[in-house]
Amino acid sequence: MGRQLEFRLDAEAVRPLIERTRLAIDGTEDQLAAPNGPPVDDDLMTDFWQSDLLGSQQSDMAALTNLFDDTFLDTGRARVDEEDVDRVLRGCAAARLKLRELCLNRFEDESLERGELERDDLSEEETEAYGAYILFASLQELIISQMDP
Amino acid sequence: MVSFVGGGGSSSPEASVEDETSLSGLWSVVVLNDPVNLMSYVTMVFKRVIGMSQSEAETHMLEVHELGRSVVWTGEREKAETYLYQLQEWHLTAVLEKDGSST
Repeated sequence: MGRQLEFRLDAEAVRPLIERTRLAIDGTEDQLAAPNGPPVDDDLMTDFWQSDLLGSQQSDMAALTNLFDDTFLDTGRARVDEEDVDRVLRGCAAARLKLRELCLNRFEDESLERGELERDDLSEEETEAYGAYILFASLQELIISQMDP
Repeated sequence: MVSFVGGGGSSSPEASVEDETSLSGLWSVVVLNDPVNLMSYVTMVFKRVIGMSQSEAETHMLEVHELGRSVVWTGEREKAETYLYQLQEWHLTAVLEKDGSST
């Protein structure tokens, strides 16, 4: 049996952050989170390369979504199994990149990095998106420090 | 995982020789800075994908952060493409450059 990382969060506090992430990402499944592409300017190669990356990204996002499933919303407990660690880490990265691009694009990089956003200056959507952005970063830090993947 | 195996078009000998020549030599895998991914995450990815030690990975991560880019591997084209794909799969922004072609 592989290792597991279990963590507890306030499900009611996390629920709107997860919902905001879903809403933001919904409809962008066919777009890569990072501005990447194949190493050659070739239509066939581009199609294969993008298609494979998108398939991987969708799997990553599904792993992240599954972590915050109905069980989590009932109990506040979530578990990351060792075999899912990579996908959850990548899912967090993809979600953060998309939240940055879609919901937090008016803010300076440094302000986001240092957590210097003024709450009064944020809309409800931005507050939730920023909360999710921080949550997924914390989850990545926790997994990297505890499971040393 | 995909791998580039040819030009996908002309099969004339001239085109094949030209393609082989243009893809031969050394290629660098370059990671570009992004304002989102965590330093600890980028370090971990370099260790996992390229097989760097902790200190090597941290050095390259800081290079990306401070200079905007870092050459994380140099070698034959096919392996460079594999590393490129894997780094992109981890949602880092990465490109291939022919060795000596960077500006």
